[in-house]
Amino acid sequence: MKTLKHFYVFLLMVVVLPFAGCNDTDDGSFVAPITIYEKVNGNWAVTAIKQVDEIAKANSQTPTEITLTDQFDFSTFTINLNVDPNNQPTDYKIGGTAPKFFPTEGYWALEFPFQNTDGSASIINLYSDAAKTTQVAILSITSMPGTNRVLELKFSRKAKGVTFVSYVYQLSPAIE
Amino acid sequence: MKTMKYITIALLTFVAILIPKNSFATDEVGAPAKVWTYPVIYALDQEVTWYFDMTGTGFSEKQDLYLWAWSPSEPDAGNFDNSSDFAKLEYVSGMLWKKTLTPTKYFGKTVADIEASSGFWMRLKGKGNEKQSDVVQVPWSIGDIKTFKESGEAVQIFPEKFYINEPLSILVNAEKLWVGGGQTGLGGEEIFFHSGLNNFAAGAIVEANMGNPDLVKKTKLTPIGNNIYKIDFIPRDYYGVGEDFVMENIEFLFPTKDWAKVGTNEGGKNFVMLAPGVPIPLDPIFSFFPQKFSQYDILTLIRKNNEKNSQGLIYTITAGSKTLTGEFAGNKDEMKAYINLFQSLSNEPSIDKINLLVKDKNGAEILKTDIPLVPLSDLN
Repeated sequence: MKTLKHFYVFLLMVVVLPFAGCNDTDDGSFVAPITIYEKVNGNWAVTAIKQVDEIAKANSQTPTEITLTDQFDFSTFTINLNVDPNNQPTDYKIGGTAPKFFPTEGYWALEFPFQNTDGSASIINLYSDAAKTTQVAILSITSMPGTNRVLELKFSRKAKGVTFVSYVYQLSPAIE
Repeated sequence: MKTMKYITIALLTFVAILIPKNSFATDEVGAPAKVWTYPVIYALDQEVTWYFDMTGTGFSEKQDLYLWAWSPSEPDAGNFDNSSDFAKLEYVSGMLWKKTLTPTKYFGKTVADIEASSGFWMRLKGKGNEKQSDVVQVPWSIGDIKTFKESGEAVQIFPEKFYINEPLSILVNAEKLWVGGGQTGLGGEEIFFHSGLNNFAAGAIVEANMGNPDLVKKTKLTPIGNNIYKIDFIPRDYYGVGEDFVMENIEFLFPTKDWAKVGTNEGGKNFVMLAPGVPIPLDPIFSFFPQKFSQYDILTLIRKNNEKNSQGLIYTITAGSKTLTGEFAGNKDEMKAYINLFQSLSNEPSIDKINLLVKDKNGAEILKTDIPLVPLSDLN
């Protein structure tokens, strides 16, 4: 019986203890972790675009890049990465008359909503369908907006898995 | 005493006899500051003017000077004390004298005789025997013409360092000229000199314009045998450019009568003779960016170190069934053409190469090449 009494005391402690953390001394309510969606969503306009010769870069040859900002209306390029109220990605829309290397509208999602722990660039996948099953293009984020509101997206062209040329769009928030 | 007087007189007479009335040794008054000829290159049976700049010599300005030559012959032999009129030079100005003559006639020798001689050797002197210059050799061109012929070069300019206000001669070996696609030459043809200073700069051009008799005459080259031709001029006079004009080069080509054929440098290029001190222009460099691209990409053509007179470049790209043309933009140092292959070719079937042709605005072909493309089947 004495053993049973001890057992009840123990059980009571186990049941009651967890509630100790639920008193008014808590310093805040639950906040969802900050994702990259919060940083990259919105309407962005191009400030500069360069074409990178990835073969030259890999072989330490020059030139490795050329600026195309003033060519072919690249300067008109805008991209609107929309999110829902929960900061979840919905559709995207590209504005302007720059060469359309990828579809001008569709749906988007990050491959991983947080910074990659291995330091590699975050990836935006573009889809043609809302269900996000048909991928149409991949953009990597080569510069993440922070206090400096600059987003850099890179569109790479690959042959048999090896990138040979890429286009780097330097963007800043579009003035609405 | 009287005997003594006679002895003294005899002695004085003897001494007087020993002392020459005046010295027979003629004063050597120095060498000419400069000797040149016009034409610079001349045939021995062709009229030539020899120029003698006697600045710094003991001759006086405007005085009469005479040629005292002994090679290849001695035309005024026996008249050293009183030179003949035919040997007289003409005073130009500022201590400069000239003598115009035809060597075969003046020396009474054949071309072969003169060629076999040791050259033109002489002194200049006054009418009498008082003053003479140092020994002067007047340059001749026999060696130059022979060396030029043997060099196998199509063109040579004399002197090598030529100046805008000094005579020059351009020698042409008509057999070595390029006509059309090959070095077939223009031997035996009547040829003309179509030229301009500073890459045909406006106002410094003398056209071989067959519709203008004056220009036909002015631009015609003189054959001097063995398919060697020449033209002689002083650039400032020939092109009629002003005092402040700075000559950088002479650019030229050789049309035949009525431009039926055109003799050029290798590969159809114009000849360009750079004036002394003008740096040799950098060779043009053509490149394209990026190294590897597909028909979905932007291609940039780049040409650096363009010709100074370049009016611009035009590209023509043949890609599958499409032809893309456009102009380069930029300046002499660098011209670029940005080409949106994506826009023109994104709806085309896979293309694995393009043909690129670049011409300048004068129609001359600069480049013609195939460039491989990454086929669409390789893209992912």
